[in-house]
Amino acid sequence: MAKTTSRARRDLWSQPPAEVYRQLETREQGLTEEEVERRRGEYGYNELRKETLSRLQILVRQLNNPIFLILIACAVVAGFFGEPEQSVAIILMMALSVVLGFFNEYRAEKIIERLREKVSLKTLVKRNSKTYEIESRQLVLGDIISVTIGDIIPADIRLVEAKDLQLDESALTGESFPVEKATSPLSLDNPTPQQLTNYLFMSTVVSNGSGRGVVISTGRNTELGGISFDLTRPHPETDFQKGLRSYGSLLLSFTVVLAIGIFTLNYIVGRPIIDALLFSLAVAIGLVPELMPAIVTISISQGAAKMAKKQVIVKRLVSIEDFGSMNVLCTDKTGTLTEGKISLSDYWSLNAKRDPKILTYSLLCNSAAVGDEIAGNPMDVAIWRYAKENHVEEAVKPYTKVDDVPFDYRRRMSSAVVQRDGTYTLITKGAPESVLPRCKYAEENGGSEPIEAAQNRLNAKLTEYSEAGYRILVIAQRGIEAKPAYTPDDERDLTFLGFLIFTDIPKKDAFEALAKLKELGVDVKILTGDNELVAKKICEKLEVPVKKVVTGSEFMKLKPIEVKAVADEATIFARITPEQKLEIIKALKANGHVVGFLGDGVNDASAIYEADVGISVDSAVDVAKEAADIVLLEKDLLVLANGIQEGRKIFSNTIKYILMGTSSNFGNMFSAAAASVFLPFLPMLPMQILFMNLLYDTANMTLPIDNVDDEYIKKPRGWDISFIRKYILFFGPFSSLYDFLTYGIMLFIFGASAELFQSGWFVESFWTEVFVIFVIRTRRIPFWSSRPGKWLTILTMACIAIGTIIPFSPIGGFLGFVPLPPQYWILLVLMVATYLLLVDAGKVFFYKICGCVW
Amino acid sequence: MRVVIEMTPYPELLRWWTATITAGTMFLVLVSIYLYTRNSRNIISTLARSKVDFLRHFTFVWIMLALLALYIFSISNGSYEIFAAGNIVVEVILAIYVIRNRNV
Repeated sequence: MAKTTSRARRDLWSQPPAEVYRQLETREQGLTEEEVERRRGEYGYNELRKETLSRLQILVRQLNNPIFLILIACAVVAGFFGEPEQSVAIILMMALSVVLGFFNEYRAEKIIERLREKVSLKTLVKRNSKTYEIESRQLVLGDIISVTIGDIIPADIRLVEAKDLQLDESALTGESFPVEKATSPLSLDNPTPQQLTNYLFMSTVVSNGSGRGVVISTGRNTELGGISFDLTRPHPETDFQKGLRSYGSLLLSFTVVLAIGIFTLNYIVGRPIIDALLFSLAVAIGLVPELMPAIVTISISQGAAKMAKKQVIVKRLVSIEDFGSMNVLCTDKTGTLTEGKISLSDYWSLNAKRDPKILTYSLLCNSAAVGDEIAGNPMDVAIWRYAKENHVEEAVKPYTKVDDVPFDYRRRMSSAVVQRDGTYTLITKGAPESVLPRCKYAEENGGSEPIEAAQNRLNAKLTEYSEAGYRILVIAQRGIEAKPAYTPDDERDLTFLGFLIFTDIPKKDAFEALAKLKELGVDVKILTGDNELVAKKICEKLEVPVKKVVTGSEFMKLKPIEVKAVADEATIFARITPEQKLEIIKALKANGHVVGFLGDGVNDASAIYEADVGISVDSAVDVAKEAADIVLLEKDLLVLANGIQEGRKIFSNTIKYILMGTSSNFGNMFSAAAASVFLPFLPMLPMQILFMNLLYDTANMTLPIDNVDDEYIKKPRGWDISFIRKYILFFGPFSSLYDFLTYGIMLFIFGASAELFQSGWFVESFWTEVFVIFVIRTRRIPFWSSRPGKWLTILTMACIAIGTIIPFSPIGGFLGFVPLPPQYWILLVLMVATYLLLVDAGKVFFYKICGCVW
Repeated sequence: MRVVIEMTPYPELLRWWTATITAGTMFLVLVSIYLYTRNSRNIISTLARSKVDFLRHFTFVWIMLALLALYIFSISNGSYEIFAAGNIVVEVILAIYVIRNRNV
């Protein structure tokens, strides 16, 4: 077998197929299972990089965190200045935090791995003379694979068979025009990938035709593997990611300033440098939202698992929040609003007669694969089904198919050349507006007349069928001379034969799904290649109010400034091209919408990629599935509506953590900082702050699975930094006020020593910080009208119990706590109850009176 | 239990404490006014109708100011009982307020 380096395999371009088989020790019938196993053992799986993280990588991710470095610094400083207990305590808490983070993220990664497996790319491979559909990562060197329109090439391939094969190689070469491929050997020295017309390269896309070839390199040995480990260009940051990042950096910069300020002030008031340093570092740790990445990861992985149960697979996890925020959904109608099972309803000639020739010719100009089952283009399949059901398929027997001119989206038609008794006929089938301009005559009653004479009747028929919601194809023909190959240029001077009339009825649950999407505040727009009358009819049947209909040709004439307005106004965009779909998505995004696009065809891929939330279905072509963020296992809008609700729950629970951090936690650390300057002792020891932080983080761990109020998920919500700013300003001081109150109680009612003060404030601070979760987690007033999640309640109560008994325990002694007097507990209960009610009353003012909404 | 102020080891801090908690409350009042005035509906309603609306809208602020007075008075006097009784009264008021403003 040839050497396995990429260089050596590339030399196969100059060899004929037989030699390629010989060099790669393979054959037309494919490899045997033993050979596959051996080669996989030798070269590994066909993947550029592992999608999931190893245990070690997850562990390293826990340690690769600025908080961890700060804690190490704290431990070293404490040890260096003769405080070994503090040093040990910090290391212990650090270890606990790492273990907690590791197990949660490991579990999340496992969930993600299982989900990805559900929508992995598949390839048709021939092994042991049999054809199988396997995951692309299972391919090995020497495998024989087949590709067709829409497929993403799964490895580097040497072609051995090709039929009108064209590839979009832009992912590899940047070349935007399709490249024609053929099998003939090439005499080239040191060719570039662009020159290798008998090679197919990993990640490029079949834009036309079909082919078969031998895998000559896999995984990192492919051309793409040599350039980069990324299969696709990076997705832009989501709205939520941007918001989270700006919020994180704002808080981090504030923390740095505060820590430096606290250290300087404490040093100025004469506190020992070690105390000042450790305290300022501990306050910094208390402020940093260190749990945020974990909360986000857990939220989205748990949410993704829940969504998978609802038949929605999330491929790009960060898109979940945008999924929830989505307020415009663009979709085609076929298969989502309609059954997607097109059936041939009838076939008519110009004078409304059922001419059998129309049906016979449409069976001849047909790309469906007919065996025990019929597969292929839905319309071609529908024609065959009709023929079989009516037992007329035998009519094609006298004909021999000579050649095909396959369908493409630009021509919107396909042709076949057939021969019967030495006469060659070109049959063309396609969209009326594409085929009719190429017709010179129209056949009627056995004779033919110039098309111009029949134009009015043709137009009247087309309008009649379209208004009735039918989908129409036209069939035309002409006699043609025999020649080696036929091209689209031969599709001219045709004679119109008749109409093929198809129907696609609305789905039973489409009405319910659209109503639910409306209830969720999602505006549905239809972007279809079909004509406007068909789309309008479907909308009428489904009671979708149509504000405006725009056709592709009308859209083309719009000025850039008008595009934005029209994108917002129109409900139906009919007869549009893939480029126009992309333009509409961009215009809607520019108008401030979070846009989803649901599509399944090759022509949908760019729009799927451009949308904030690209959605596809499991049965879609590879390129559409690969471009999508979310894959629906069922092409059903109801499934989508369920997914949107789930996305909103995840968004809501992530926001809860942010609001907690910006209110209670922030307030606590601020009051600690202020008190440290005036008190003759530290209000809380650094390791006490770290311990409280650890306990608080533990209590927050179940937030991702908390219940979310129904009314919160009724409308889409995007990131709103101005709301967070107002929230910090308003709710932050509450917690500080109650901290100051505790200082007063400890100093002037209990005449507390430093240890008693620290113990009292630790418990109060922890109680308020944790209990307020139940008030902040809901917008409902009173807060007890919203039921929190079972696990959130259990875990927070467990943490409260630990925080309460800790001053009485030996660990408490180690952390510097002393037991608190019984009277303190009575005051604490009253104080915390007032605090919670005051925050709830604050919500009345904030949400209802000031109208602050998110 | 009644602990007099003289018992604290840090009597000089009382003034600092009173100033800090008052400043904190005043900050919250200012934020409330800022948020209230940002909502133009509130201004129109206050101007067009009566001062009653304004007083009613700020119930939460009045309660907070009452709490501040209670806390300063009870803690300055080192009075555990006044603190506890005052809290219970305010809690009842707050509970009535939130229930009357329930949104579900």
